[in-house]
Amino acid sequence: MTRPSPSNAASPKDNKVGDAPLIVVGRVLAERGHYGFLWADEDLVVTASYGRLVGFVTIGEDITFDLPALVGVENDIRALKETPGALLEMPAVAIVSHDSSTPRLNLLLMWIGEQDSYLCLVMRTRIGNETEIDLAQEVRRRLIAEAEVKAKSKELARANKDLEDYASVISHDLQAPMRALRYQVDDLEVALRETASQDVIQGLDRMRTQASRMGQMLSALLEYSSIGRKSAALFDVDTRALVNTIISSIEQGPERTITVTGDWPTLTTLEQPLDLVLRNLIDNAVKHHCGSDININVQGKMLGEHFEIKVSDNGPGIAPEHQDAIFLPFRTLRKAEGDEVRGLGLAIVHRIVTSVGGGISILGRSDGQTGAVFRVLWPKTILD
Amino acid sequence: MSARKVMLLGDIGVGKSSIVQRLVFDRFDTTYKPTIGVDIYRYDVPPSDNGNDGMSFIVWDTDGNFGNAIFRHVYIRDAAAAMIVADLSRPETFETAASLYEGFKEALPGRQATILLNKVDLVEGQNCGPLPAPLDRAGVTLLRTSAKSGTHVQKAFHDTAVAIQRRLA
Ligand SMILES: Nc1nc2c(ncn2[C@@H]2O[C@H](COP(=O)(O)OP(=O)(O)OP(=O)(O)O)[C@@H](O)[C@H]2O)c(=O)[nH]1
Ligand SMILES: [Mg+2]
Repeated sequence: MTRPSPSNAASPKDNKVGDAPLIVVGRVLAERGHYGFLWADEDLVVTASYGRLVGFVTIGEDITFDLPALVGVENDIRALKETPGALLEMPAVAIVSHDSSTPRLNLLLMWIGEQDSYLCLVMRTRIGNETEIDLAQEVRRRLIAEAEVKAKSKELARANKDLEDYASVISHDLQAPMRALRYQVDDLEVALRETASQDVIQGLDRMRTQASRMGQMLSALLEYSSIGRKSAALFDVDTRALVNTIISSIEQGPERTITVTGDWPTLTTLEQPLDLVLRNLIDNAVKHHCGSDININVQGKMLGEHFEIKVSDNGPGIAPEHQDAIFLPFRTLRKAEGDEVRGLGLAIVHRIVTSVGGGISILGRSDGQTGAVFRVLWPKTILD
Repeated sequence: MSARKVMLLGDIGVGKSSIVQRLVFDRFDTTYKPTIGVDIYRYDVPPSDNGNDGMSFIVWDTDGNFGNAIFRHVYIRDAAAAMIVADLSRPETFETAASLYEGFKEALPGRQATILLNKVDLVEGQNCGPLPAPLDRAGVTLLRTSAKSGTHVQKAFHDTAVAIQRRLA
């Protein structure tokens, strides 16, 4: 570090500042790009420029050629000559072109009689400091993002309604021909049993399987689309009995354990929907398990105004990025081998739970093991 | 012929910057970078056979937060035309557009003002039909645009060039 020497020509001694230090300061500021100077003649043609900041301005061109921000104020600039000391300011403009954009600039114009020229003082400027700009931008982004979410949820509601109507119509209309197809396969098999080859019989078998699969999908679809239209009769439901019945209807094997823990009260609630929710959640846990040692726990608990149901499995778990999509109709993340994948189970659960004013979420397992935990909050009292 | 100044006005986030970027560079960015201040672009309208001999535009992409205060600012000085942008997916921006339209007509009587209903790509099936209430008045020039797809972006500016030329003739 060298101290400025007192003999430096540019350092103001005493209180008198001569021309020399002014020239030095002017030069330093211009070289550092803080300021730039442009001179223009009476016809507003640029005659000279000084400083890095105005390096892009072409000498000999009209001042508006490179500073198009001055288009429209040419007459105001000319008027400066008539009023000594008058200024014209064009604040905070950036000039954007194909390959570059100038920084935000303040343009300050005046007539310098001594030089018989207009002077345009060009300064780098900012509207507020960087933090303020970031903040302003962030606030606006939020505003717009919120508006977009609102618009999208409206759109989604409409799409869901469409899907519902569509699903209801097609599932209903397709069921009869589907059933007819199955009967015809049966008839064919009877007729051909004596004469047909093994291949044909097997083919018919596969046809029957596919047809009944499709029948199941259609029933699922009909079920899905009729949620919310069901009459809302309330019954006293023994939830423990309900969950036990469901589990006994699911085939248990040596490598498949389903346990029921916690409190299972009797609720005055919608039985059919609650049944569907439990059944689908347990079903889902069984189907989407790819290992051999299936362990599923169903836990009940009264939690304030809600009955909390947690269904946890020791399957592969669900990545956070899939957790929203999983509740959409016909979404399956994993193709379960052999088992029927209808892809509506969780969509049904989601619709039922939200239609009764409850909630559903997916949690990770708290004990560090892999697996998913579906948590349903079922309202203790069902409002109309 | 000297360049003409065209103002892009309208509420925040309606797509003013996106429109000028589509016009001048033929590009579109889905991320929102709010304009704090004004950005100035040059765009040359090519000559065409609908009464436009070609014209140079200086397009002022303004900050959506200026609102009607811009009419008291040096920025608006001698503007030849204004494009007043609203966002079809956000009806609240129609009110702002209507008030900017009034403000511009008052500040610069006789100058061309066009209302652009932008983001038409977002509102399927609304690319025609009745106008939103605040904008439904006689004599308003109006176009449905999309900076995303480019729909009517060039047309908006080319029509403006024709209108300016007609006024000067
Ligand atoms: N889908 C769609 N999105 C658009 C369209 N035009 C703009 N956007 C998006 O809308 C957001 C805002 O666009 P901008 O062009 O920055 O809006 P602005 O009017 O300049 O906003 P301010 O500078 O804050 O006044 C961005 O995310 C754009 O990608 C369009 O025509 N269609
Ligand atoms: Mg902008």
